[in-house]
Amino acid sequence: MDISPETILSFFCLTLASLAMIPSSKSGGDDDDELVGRCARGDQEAFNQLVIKYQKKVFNVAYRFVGDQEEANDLAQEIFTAAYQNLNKFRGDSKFSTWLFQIATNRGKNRFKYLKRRGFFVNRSSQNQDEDGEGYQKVVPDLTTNPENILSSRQIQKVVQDAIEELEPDHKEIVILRDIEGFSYEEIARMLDLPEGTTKSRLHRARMVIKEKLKKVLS
Amino acid sequence: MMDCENVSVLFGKIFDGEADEADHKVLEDHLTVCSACNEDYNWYKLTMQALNNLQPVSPPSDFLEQLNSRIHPKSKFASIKSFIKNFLDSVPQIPVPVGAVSLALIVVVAFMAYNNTPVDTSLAIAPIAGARSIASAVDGGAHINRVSQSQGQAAPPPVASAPRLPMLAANQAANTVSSAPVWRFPTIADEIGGDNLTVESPRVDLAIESLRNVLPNLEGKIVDEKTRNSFGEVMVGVVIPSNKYADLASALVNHGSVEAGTLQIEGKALIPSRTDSNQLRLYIRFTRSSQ
Repeated sequence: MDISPETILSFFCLTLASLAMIPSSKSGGDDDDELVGRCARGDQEAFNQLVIKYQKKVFNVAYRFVGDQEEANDLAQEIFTAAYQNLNKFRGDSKFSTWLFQIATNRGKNRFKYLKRRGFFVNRSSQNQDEDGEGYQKVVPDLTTNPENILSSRQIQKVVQDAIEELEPDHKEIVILRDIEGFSYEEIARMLDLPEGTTKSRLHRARMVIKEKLKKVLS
Repeated sequence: MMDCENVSVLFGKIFDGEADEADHKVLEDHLTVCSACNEDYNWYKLTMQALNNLQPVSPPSDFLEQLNSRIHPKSKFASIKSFIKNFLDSVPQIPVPVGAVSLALIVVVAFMAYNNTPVDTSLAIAPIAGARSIASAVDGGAHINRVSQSQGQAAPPPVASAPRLPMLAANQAANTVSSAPVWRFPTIADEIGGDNLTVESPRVDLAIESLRNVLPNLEGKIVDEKTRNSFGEVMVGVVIPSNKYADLASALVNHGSVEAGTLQIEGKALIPSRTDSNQLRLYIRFTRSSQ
């Protein structure tokens, strides 16, 4: 069998590339391992660093679930507290961030259901209307002229947030993770323990619901 | 040509970057001939842009501090320390010693105010047959008081110039207690948890001797005895049959520890604070009268 130098070089390069891929796929490209390890040994500073790294994202997820700063703050605190208390259960077979956002979505969903049962969103909605003195009907965007300004307007932001709040919890969590926080389908499927196909179909339905709400309010 | 429902599924694939060239072609072809789907696609696009452009919200600046105090709550002692520190820091114009003295004064006043809270005698004595009272026997410089159990506080000795009979009846005694809530140092009764009778006498030793003489007739016995010389108080623990409680006070009078003229006791007005089947344990505090 005749083996050319190019073949050997190609094989060598491929092998090197594969070796380079192994550690990153094992840890999932996650540089939190060291911090998590230190944290598990009781290093408070390491935990603080993890909090600083993820607080904005966790807070945003929390906010999208409950739509209220104070509630979001309490929820985000609860999420980190749960992570801290259960760190010994983190087996390291997924990224720390995946594990953390799994906690975040579970807690977020539970908090949303709890607040909904207590009429939190109904009361807040009527309160907001009283305070603002304006409803959605005043927002009449001209989609052909300045879509950028429209999308960043406070009213549109509120319409979208309200549309998210009205979603079923199972749909809401996927929209938050995928369209707002930008997690991959694979990560979401792992976090929610769902097949990727189910994740995609739920997301599609959720997007269509939000689209209809926007259409209804803005048309 | 693909139907509208299947075309809408392509929207997601397009925006997730998962559509291939064929998908793009199918969509474009459909949108050129179907105005409804074309409008729908524009709304879908707007929805995706709106979702991706949601402005991030920021956690409060002290998020980490809040979290740490939630995970590691400060001990009570640390809270008190921090309160004192904040208190002193908040009044920088006052010298630290003055601040500390003020704080101490506040604590003492608060403590005294707390101890001056009127005692609810209904808690001290469980009534039977409607009687709600403090037992108080006074005669010739000696008196017997019912001592509060739940408050751990002896009723103050009445200052009686003339012999006064202790009534187990409710109203009179209740007035006695509520009208004179005076702060005092803890007594032996408080330490032991004694809660039954106080015998005030110019001769504590004679009074106790009388008690020793009385008890055999009542089938009772002394089970505990403590003294505090500096206050001239003696606390005697006694066990008697439950139905002999009223007789005990009468017997104390009859045997000289209390020189009563007439002693009125509603025999079953009091429930013993501690019972062992039909045995009653009570504590009698003997204290020297000022006379």
